[in-house]
Amino acid sequence: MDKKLLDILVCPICKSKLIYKKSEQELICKADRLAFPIRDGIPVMLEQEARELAADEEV
Amino acid sequence: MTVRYSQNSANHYNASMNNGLDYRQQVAALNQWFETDLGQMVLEQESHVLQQLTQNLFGYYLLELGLLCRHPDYMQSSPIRNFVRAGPCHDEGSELVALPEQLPLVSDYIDAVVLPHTLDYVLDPRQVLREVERILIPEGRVVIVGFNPYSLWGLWRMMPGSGKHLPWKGHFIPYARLQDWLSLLGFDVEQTRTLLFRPPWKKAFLKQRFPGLDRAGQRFCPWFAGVYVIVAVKRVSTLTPIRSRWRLERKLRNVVTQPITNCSQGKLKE
Repeated sequence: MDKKLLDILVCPICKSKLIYKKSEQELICKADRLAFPIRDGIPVMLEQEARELAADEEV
Repeated sequence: MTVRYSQNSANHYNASMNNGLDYRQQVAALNQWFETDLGQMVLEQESHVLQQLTQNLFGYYLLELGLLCRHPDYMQSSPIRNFVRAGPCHDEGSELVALPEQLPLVSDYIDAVVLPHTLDYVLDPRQVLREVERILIPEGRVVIVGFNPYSLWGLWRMMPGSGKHLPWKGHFIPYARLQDWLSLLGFDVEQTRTLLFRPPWKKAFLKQRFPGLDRAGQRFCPWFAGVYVIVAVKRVSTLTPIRSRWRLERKLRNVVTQPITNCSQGKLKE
């Protein structure tokens, strides 16, 4: 994934910073507890496509 | 009367979008139309204008936000090297998938944004403009391409039958209203270009009938163009404290300083 694009990405809902999980290819928003997928190197920043983090899942 | 018509058409459009026609179908239908001869002609002329306008855009990031990624590479002429294409669908051309109403980008960071017919086909064009204003740096530029409702292209959508299909089903925001929205958000319109004065006829032999119409329209009635391209600059007023210049500054005088209390030596001994 493009490093320059990763630098300027934030959560589309709350506009807070994202955590990049390279192994799972996900961008995680801690505030909303959502994981946005990266498919074929393209971040999919849609709320309906995001995975909700489980209550016991630590970020 | 015209305002009421436009608002009604926008409400109808929103209602139809909420009834199930989502962005994916919308993008597919739009791309299909822009692959036709008429669509290709529109893209070609728009790309030519965009190529000229993006030459004057400077900075680090250029974002193209739209439902269609079909414009030829106009950004090659721009001095901005980092080009990001964002769209609501996982398309070949897009490098970022995001809704135009909910942009996942840092505030005050992007130098220029291009909206090719985006405001015509999104659910909430005002929210898109608000988001664009948020992500742009001060003095950043937005380039808006849109269909003009007060033109032969605008009249075409009022023909029975054609108003139900794309691309005629879009918002077709009037230029004056767009200018009003932009000024409310603190933008200054820097440049306006108009193009496509010929009627939107599909037949190739009819399209060639009006070679001088574009030139005549440009000269005598530029407000009757089928497509407008606006370049607006985001202005931000900063607060700077203003001092009153007429007041004389206080200067320290040569005053002999005296102690407030005098104590004698005797008292100190005690």
